[in-house]
Amino acid sequence: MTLLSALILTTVHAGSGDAILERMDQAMTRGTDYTFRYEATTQDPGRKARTMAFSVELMGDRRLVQFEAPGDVKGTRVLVLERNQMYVYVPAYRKVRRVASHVTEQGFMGTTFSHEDISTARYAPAFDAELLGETHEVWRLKLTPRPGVETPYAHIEAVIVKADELPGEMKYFNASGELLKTQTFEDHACQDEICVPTTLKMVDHSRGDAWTTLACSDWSANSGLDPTRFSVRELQRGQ
Amino acid sequence: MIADRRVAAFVVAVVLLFATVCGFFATRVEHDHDVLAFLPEDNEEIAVFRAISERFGGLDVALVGVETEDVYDPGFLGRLRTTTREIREIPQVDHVVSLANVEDFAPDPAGGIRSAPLVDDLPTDATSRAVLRALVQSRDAVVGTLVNEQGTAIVLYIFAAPGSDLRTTATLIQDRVEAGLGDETFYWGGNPFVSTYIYDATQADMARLTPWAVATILLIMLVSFRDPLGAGAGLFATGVGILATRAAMAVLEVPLNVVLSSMPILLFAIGSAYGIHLLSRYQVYAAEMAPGDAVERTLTQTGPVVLTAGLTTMAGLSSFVFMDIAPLRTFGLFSALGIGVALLVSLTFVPAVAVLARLKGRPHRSRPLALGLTRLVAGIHRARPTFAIVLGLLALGGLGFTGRVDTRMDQTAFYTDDSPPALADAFLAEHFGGSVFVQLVVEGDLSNPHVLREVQRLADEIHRLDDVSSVQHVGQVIGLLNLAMEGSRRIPDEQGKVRALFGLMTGHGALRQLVTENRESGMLVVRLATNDLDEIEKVLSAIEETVATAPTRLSVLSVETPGATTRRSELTRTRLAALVPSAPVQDLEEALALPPQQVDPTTVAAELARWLAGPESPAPLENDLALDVAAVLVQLDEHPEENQVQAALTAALEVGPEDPRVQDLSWSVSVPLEEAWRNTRARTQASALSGLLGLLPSETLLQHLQAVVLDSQAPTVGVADPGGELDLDWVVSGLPVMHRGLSQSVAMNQFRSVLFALILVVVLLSVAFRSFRAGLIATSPTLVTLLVVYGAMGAMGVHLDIGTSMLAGLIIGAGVDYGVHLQSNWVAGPLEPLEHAAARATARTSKAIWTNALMVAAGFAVLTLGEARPLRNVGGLTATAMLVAACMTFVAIPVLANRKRYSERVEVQDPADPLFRAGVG
Repeated sequence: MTLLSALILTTVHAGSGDAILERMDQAMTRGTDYTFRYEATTQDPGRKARTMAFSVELMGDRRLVQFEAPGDVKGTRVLVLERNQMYVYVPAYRKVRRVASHVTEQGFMGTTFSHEDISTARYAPAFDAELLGETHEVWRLKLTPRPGVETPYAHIEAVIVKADELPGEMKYFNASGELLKTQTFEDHACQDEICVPTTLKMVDHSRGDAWTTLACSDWSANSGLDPTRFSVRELQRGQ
Repeated sequence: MIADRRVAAFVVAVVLLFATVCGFFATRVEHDHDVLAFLPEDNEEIAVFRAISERFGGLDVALVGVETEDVYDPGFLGRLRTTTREIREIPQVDHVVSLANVEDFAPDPAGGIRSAPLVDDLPTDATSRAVLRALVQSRDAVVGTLVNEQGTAIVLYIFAAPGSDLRTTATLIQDRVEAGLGDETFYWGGNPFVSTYIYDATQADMARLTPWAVATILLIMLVSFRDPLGAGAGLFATGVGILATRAAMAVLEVPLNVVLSSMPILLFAIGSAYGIHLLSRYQVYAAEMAPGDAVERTLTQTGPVVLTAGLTTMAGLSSFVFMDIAPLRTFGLFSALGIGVALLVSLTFVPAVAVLARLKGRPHRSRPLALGLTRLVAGIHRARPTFAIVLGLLALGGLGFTGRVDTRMDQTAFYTDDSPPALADAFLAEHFGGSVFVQLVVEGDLSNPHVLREVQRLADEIHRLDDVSSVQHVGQVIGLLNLAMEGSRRIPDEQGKVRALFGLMTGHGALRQLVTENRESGMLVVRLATNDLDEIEKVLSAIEETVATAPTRLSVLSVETPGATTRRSELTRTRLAALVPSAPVQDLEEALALPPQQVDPTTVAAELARWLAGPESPAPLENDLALDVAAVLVQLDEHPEENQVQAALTAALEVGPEDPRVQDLSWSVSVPLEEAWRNTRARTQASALSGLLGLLPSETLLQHLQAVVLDSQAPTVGVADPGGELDLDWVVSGLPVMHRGLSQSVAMNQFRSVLFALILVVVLLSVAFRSFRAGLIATSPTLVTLLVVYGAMGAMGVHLDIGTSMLAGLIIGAGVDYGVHLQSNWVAGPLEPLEHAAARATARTSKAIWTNALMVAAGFAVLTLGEARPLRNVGGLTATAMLVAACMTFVAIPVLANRKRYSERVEVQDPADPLFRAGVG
C-alpha cells in the first residue's frame, strides 16, 4: 500500500503544482479541529532568549490562542476570526478589544513569525504553485501570490514531504529575490490519518538570523471542540 | 664596520630581506572603522555612556533625513514605503521606523481599534492627500519626530542589529536610500554614518595626501642634498619603518584605525630626519675623504647624536601609553616602533648604501643664508641677557594664553561645517527641533504606575527647561496603548494593566530604545534645541540640577493620607505646565481649583451605545436598541451591581431575565459602563480646562487634558519618601555628558603625556650629555615651543581635542631633535669664546635642522588640505610647531649654553664647519 501510494505520489507531473499545494493544505487541515500546546523560544542576535508558553485551538480558519507565560501576558487570549481581524482579551482590563490589523512588519508577540505567517492556514487560495522539481521524498514548489492577494513575500519556495504531504521547509523571498525567512517543519507526528509538524522554526535572515522555535509539547485533533469557543462571548468568559 | 663593502652589502641584503618580509605581512593588517574605540576606558561618565548605549542600542541608530517638496505626494510615499521595506530587509538592520511604516492605533468605525501603518492607503487625489496630511499632523508622537510640521522633511530611524559592522550597514543603507528615493536631498546622521564618514574621510585624505607629502619630503631632500640615491636611501629607511610597523600590527592582530592610518606621513616626516643628518654630514666628509672613511667619521661624530635624537622621538611618542584612549596608545607604541626601525635602518642601511654606491661628497659652501644664521646665532649668544628676557617673556606670554586652551569636546571636533554629518545636524536642528540628545536613565520597576508617573513628572520638568525641545519616555508609549485599550491616554492606575501593555509590546523594536525587556531600566530621551556648546553645557547643568531633586524612593500612599494630596497637586501642576507652557501660574492654579463639571448623561449613553452595538460586545444590539439600552443603563449607579444591570436590561430589552442577551450583557457591560462614565466625565472636565486656559481644543490636547484629570483622581499616589518601598535611580548621560567626560579625559591625557615625555626626554638627554643641566638646556627649545604653540592655540580659540592632544608628544618627540644636534656640536677650543661654539654648532647643523624642520612641516602641512578635521588641526599645528621649534633651538641654546662643549666625541676642527674656518667667529 505504501509502495502504491508512493508510486501514485511520485507520478505527479510538472505543472501540477497547484494540485500539490491543494493537497498540502488538505493535509494541514485534515482534522476538523486541533489543539496544540507550544513553548516558543525567540532568540534575537546579541540578546537574551525569550520564552513564551501558549495553547492554540484551531477550527478551519479560526483560531484561539491562550497565553500561559510569561507573567505579563498570562491569561491574555487572542481570537483570530479572519486574516486581518482579531479580538484580544486582556485580563487586567477585563474586556475584549477588537483589533482590525492591517499588514504590519511586527512579529507576532515579538517572535520571528509575522501575523501573516501565523494566520495563513491555507496557501492554495492565495498562491499559484509551480512544481520546480521532485525527488523520491519531496516536491519542490514555487508559490507566487495570486493577483490581488497582498502578502509581504514576492514568492515562497516550499518543500513538501511526499510521505505525509506536509511542508518540510518554506523559504520566503522578497521582490529582489533575497531570502528573507526560512521556516522548517520538523518532527512530523501522526494520530490516525492526521499528521502535524510538532516543531516549527522560523529563521529571519533579515534580522541577523533571529529565530523562533515553536515546540509542541502536546497536541490533539478532532477532539470535538465546540464552535462557540471561537466567539467574543467565550473569549471574554475564558472558558 | 659598515665602511667595509662586504659588511655594507650584507647590511643592505638583510634590510632588503627584512623589508620584503615586512611587506608581506603589512598587507594583512586589518581595519577598525569604529571611532567609538576612541572613547576613553577609565572615565566614569564615558563608561556609563557606553553601558547605556549598549543596553538601549543608542549608538546603533542611523538617521537618514530626506528633504522633498511634499512628503504626502503619493509617488514619494510609495518610494518611501518600498525603500523602508528594503532597508528593513538588510540583514544587518534590526528594524526601521519611518513615516511609511510607523504603526497607528485609531478607533475603527466598525468597532474596536484599527492597528495599521499610519500611512496605509496612498492618497489618490488632492482631497485624500489633504486628509492624510491632517491625519499625520494630528499625531504628536509622529510630527517633529518622523516628519516635520511643514511636511517637507522626514527622518528614517534605522536600528542596526547588535554586533553589525556599522560601516557595512551604513553603506548598504545609503545604497538602498539613494536607489529607492532618487533625486531627493539626503542627510546622513547617527553613529553608523558619522563613524563611517570620519573613517572614510581620513582614509581618503591619507590615500590622496600621502603621495603628496612623500613627494614634498623627497623634493626637499633632493633640493637640499642633490643626491637622488642618498635621498632615496633615507626615505627607504623610513619606508622600512612603516612596513615593519604594519607587519607588527598584522602579526599582533592590532587593527589599523583612523589615527594609525596617518602614521605613514608622520614617519616619513619625522623618520627621515635621521638619514638627513647622516647624509648631510657624510656629504661634507666625503668631499674630503674616501666614502668608507666618510661613513666611519659620520657614524662616529653624528651617529650617537642621531641615536639620541631618535630615542627622544620614541620617548615623546611612547608617552601616549599614559593616555586612556586605546587607539592613541596603539598609535604611540607603533609609531615609536616605526621610528625605532627607521632609526636603526638609517644608521645601518644609509651608510651601507653610501659605501656601496660610493656616494659623492659636496664640500660645504658658504651660502649667504647659512652665513647669516651663523652670525645671528653667535650674536644671540653675545647678547644673552637681552635674548633671555625675550625668551622669558615669550614663554610667560605663552603660559598665560595656554591657560585659555579650551578642552571641550563635541561632535564638531571630528568634522567640518560642510561635511555630511554637520549637514545632517543642521537638517535635524532646522526641521526636527535639534540633533543633540541627553539621555536620562532611570533604574526602577518600570511596570509600576507610580514609577512611570515619576518618570513623566521629571520629563515634564525637563521639558520646561530652556533649550529642551522634547522629551520621550516609555510612559508616553504606555499612555498611547492605554488609549487604545480603554480610551484614555495615560498611565493606568493598576500595575497589572501596565504589565499587560508591556506584554503586548513584547519584542517591539521601538520600545527597546526606551525600556529594557525586564522593565527594570528605562530611558528618557531629551532632545536639545541647540547645537551651541555653551548653551548645551547650560541646559545639561539645568537637567542635572533637576534630576538631583528627583526622589530616589517612593512610598505609595492613599490620597487620603496627609501629604498625598499635595503631591498629587504637584504632579498635576507639573503636567499642566508642560502641556501648556505659555499659561501663567495663576491660570494653572485656577485650573487646579476648577470644580467638577456637570456631565451630560446622554453623552455617556452615546459612548456606551457604541460598545453595545459593536463587535466587542458578546451580544451586539441594533443601533437604536443599543441607544435605548444605554440610556437606561446610565440611569443606574456608576458602578452598578450585576442584578441591577440585569433588571435594567430586562426592562430595556423588554425580555425576560433568561434572554441570552440579558445574560451576556449582565456580566460584561459593567466595564464599558464604568469607562463611559469615567472618560466622559474626564473629557468634560478637560474641555472646561482648555476653555479656562484659553486653548484651542484639539483632539490631542483634549486627550492629554483628560489624562491630567484622570491622574488627579487616582486613588493612590507615589510620594517621595527615604524609607519608601519603590527604589529609583537616575543617571544623566548622552553625547553631551560623554563629550564632557571626553574633554576631562583629553585634558588629563595631555597632562600625563607631557609630563611623561618631558621627564623621559630630560632623563635621556641628561644621560646623553652626562649632565642634568645640559639635558634641561637641550630640552629648553621644546619647552618654549610648547608654550608658544599652546599659547597661540589659547589665543586663537583652537580647542584641545583627541587629535590635538597628540601635539605635545609630537612636539617633544620630534622638536627636541634640533636641540640635541645643535648642542652636541656646541664646541669651542680652550682659548675660544663661547660664541665660537655657537657659530660652529650652527654651521655644522643648521642645514640638516632646517631641512628636517621644513620636511616635517611640509609633510604635516599637507594634512591641512584634507577633509578630516582632526588631521587638519594636528597637521597645521605640528607643521607650525616644527618651524617654531627650529627657531627656538637657535635662540634658546645659545642663550642658555655656557660650556665649551657638551659632547666629548665632537672635535673642534671638523670639515663640517668650513664657515667657521673661514673666519665667521
